[in-house]
Amino acid sequence: MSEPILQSIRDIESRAHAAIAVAVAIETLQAIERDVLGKTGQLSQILRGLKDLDDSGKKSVGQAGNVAKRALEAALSQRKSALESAVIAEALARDRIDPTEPAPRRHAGHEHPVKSVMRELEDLFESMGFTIVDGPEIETDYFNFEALNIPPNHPARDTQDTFYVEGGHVLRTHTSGLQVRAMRKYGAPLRVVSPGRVFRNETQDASHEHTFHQLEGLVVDEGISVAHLKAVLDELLERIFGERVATRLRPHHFPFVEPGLELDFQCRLCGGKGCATCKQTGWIELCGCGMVHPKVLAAGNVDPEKFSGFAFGLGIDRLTMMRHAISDIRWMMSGDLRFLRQF
Amino acid sequence: MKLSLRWLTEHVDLAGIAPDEIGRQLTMKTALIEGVLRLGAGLEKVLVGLVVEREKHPNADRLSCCKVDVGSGTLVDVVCGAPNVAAGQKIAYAPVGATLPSGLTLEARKIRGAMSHGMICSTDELGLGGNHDGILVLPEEAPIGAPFREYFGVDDVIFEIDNKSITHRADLWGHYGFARELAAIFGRELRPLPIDATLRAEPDGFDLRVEDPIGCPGYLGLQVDLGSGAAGIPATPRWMARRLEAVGMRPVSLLVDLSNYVMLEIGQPTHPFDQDRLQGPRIVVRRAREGEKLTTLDGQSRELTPEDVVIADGERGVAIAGVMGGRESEVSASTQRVFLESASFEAARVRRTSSRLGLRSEAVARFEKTLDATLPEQAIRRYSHLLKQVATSAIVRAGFAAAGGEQARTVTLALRPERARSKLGMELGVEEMAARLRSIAFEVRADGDRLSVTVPAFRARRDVTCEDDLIEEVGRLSGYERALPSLPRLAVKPAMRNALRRIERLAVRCLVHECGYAETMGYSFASDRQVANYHVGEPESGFVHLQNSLTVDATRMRRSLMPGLLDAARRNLVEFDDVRLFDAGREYLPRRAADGVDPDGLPVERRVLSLLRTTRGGGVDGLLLTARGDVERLLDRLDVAWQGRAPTTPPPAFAHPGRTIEIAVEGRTVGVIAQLHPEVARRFEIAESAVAAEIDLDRIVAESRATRRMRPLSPFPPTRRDLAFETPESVAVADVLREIREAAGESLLELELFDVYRGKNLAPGHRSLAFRLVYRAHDRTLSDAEIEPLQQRIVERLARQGLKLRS
Ligand SMILES: [Zn+2]
Repeated sequence: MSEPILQSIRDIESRAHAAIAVAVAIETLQAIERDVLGKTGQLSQILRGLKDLDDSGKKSVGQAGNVAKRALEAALSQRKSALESAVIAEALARDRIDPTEPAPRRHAGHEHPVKSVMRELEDLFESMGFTIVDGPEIETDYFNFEALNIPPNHPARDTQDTFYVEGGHVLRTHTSGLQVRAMRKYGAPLRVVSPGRVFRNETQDASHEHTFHQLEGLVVDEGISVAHLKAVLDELLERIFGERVATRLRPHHFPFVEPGLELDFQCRLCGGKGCATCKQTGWIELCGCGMVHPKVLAAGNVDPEKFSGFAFGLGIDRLTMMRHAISDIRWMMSGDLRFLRQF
Repeated sequence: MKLSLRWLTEHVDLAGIAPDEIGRQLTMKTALIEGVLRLGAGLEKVLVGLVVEREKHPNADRLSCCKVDVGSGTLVDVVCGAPNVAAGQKIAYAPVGATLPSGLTLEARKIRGAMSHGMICSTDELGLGGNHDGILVLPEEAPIGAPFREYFGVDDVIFEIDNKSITHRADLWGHYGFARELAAIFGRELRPLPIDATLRAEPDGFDLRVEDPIGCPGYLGLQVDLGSGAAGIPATPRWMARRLEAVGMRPVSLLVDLSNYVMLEIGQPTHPFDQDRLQGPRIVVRRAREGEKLTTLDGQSRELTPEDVVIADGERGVAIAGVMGGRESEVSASTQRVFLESASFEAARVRRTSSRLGLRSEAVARFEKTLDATLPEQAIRRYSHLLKQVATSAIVRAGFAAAGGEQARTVTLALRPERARSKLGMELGVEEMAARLRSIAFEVRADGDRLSVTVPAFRARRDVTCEDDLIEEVGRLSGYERALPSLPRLAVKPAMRNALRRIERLAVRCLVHECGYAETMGYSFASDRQVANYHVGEPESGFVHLQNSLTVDATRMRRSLMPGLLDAARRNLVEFDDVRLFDAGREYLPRRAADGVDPDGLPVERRVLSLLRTTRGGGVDGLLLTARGDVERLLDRLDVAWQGRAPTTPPPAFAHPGRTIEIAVEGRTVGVIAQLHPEVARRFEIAESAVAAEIDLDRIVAESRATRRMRPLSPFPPTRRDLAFETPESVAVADVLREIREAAGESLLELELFDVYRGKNLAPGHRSLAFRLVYRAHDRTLSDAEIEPLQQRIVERLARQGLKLRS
């Protein structure tokens, strides 16, 4: 009684297997699935006729039907994934690009190279616990000169080529004026850097600008020494150049430091043997520095008997020029996009 | 300044030390040496020769065939092209194989058929400058066969000193001071300066009066009688002339050269007057009279003021003290009697006179440093010593005139060895410190646990005046390489935040990295052209003025960053179609009452961020909204809650008044975004659509919140509704948004204008505004029955403002 039904299940199954085996499109497989296994498919219809059979018939036909269904589902899934793999393989064999073709141009922005070096230095010093302070660019004669042990008529004022503005004030000739301002405001101990714009009444050429940038550093604490100054500047250079650089300290005169020093680093172009860049000396001047003069500490209301300090003044533009091989300082303030877009 | 090694070695024995090492040690311990120059390089093989015979070349009219004795025993044949060669001359002979300074290596060769072995040289060929017309003829006494370089005094090494590194060291403005340093550095003996010890002051020996003892604390005069007769004044000896030349001073005549020589040796300028041209003869040192005129040595007529110290004779001024002598009393070849001035002048006065007259001289460079009070007397003694050597017929009057009694001062300072060690970070013993100081002529004696140090007069005036100055001397002479780098041990105290810097960083992130702007920097000055084109009608009192601006074409400080950006934009539009620039800088404004009082009386410096955006061929409406978007993004990053509104204060000059968005934070104006004013665009020649913005960073610092707070999120789903209204152009979007919010209440979570439409199907003077509304509650899913009444309320409320709902 159930035998003819079992036979037709076998027939449906074998026909479906044959069709699956030769199917070359996913759609064909979907049609087979729908026709055989779908709600109104052949197999479903047969199984729906189970209610007319006796119990053993129900059992055997039901079993056979489910076995056939699972076998077909497996075959469909296997064939489907084979077909999908074939499609992928075909695409892989076909799809090629020109890896040298550039991306569509996006309008990119550019950070000013001087500002970017300045920000990098700010980050470095902040990581060493230095507070970044700002001061006025139009400065009093007192903070720019007198508090720094540069009295009126001091020869050092001559070399500074100062711009004067009304009211007896000056365009600050260096960021060093911040030394006394910072000491008065924050007291000792103290760790500050002050980056910013400074001015000299100088004729412009490839290496001179009347407007340029410095970063002043100041550490005041008990027992601060030349050895500490050198170590901090060594760290700074290592950060700038990415490796340890040989340095030397030599005497130089600045009225607001005693001893007054200049830090040179070994020329990286010639390795210290001498070349045009280092004027055959093997060394390149990095910055003026020294131990804060007791009179300057006193002007900052700091007791020079208890505290000592070091200070340094870095020329940011020159550092930027060295880093990026910029040959003319006048590009810095040019606002020229042909220049700015390179950074 | 230049130093001659030969000159230095007269005062200190430097045998066995290479010139480069001398230069290096001076750089590391005293003053920066910018160059070490070898004079006479290439002249090693050149010899003194005697032209024994000279005949005309058989085949060439302008050539001579010479036989030259160079002390080798045989005569050398040399063909010479100089017109002045003659038998009996002593000459400089360069042999075959010599490579001259020009790089020419001599070979034996035939010249028009005659053999020539070497060359008779001109000064030019010897690298000594001068003309090429003839050979150098040496004095008769030149020894045949002697090395020319040594005989002629050109085997010298020149050290070039960076003058900036000796501005504080009056003692280093002459060779003797550097000789003292070298003696200390290399542990050699400094020889005493040979001077004329027979001189003595003779108060009544000359009519000398100092009426300005502050401007001239001391004045000495040495009288010299050169005698008359055929001999006259002898020439400057060659060794002296060569030394002067080697350090860049042109020899003139013996009297002047001696004066220069003494100055370059010990740093004291002196001035020789022709005594017979001094009326009186008499010397009066006084303040110049207002408008007094004096013709200086360079032939220029100078007008003086009472600030200046003048040297006068019985009638008129004859020299500007410390700056330059006068022409009328100048020494000449016929001078028979000399009055040599050697004086102290007040440094500040000399400096002021020099800078007012624009007249720098070697004397000024030294007097402005405040010289040692003992120098004037040393100078006349040295001058007399040299003169007596060179001009034996000269009679130096043993009594010198003297006025003013400036005392040489030494200073005694205490040095605490512990402080020196602590400041230098060097391991230094007390004995070593004392030895270092003694090596530069400081007197040192122990005084308990400290050293008592007496600073010699030549260092005590301005240079070494406190304990830390002594520490510097110890440090530099010990060598700073002995300060071994060690990072300071400081308290782990975090840096204070710089709020402005935080904002600048965020601005870079947003404007540069997200919105494609280039960061630029403009000058702090406003050029006259910028002022005329931008600050129209701004009174002069609106600017901070520069008082000297020789190097910039401006007399005012900028009161806006915008003119600089406009100029940059115009230049960049030549090359680029899309220009986006921003500058965060300062504007400088005179202080007004409303700005409050600055304790130092300084002008106001406003920190501003300005940006400008222009596109070739783009529409301005879109650009304005794009720029608004840039600013919005920036202010969002800074967590500043702001509104755009119509101007409530007069907009800045760059802004088109009808197309200006005022940026308001809590009702206060902090900036402006605007289309460029067409008049400003015309003046700055910007033909393309352009928009610009200005933001007051100081106000933003005050408003910017440091942190965002998270809004609670609802687990219940949102309901979205869109509404579009036909809106009169006169009704502002901000007002519509406010009305919607008020009508909908707190269930309305988000409200966004997503479309603005102008065109067909709208009444004239109207545009369509389409809003997206998102309703959401935190405690339940909102039902349509709850939302519909809210929607209805919005529509009704807006209808009252004349807004019609579009279906
Ligand atoms: Zn080099």
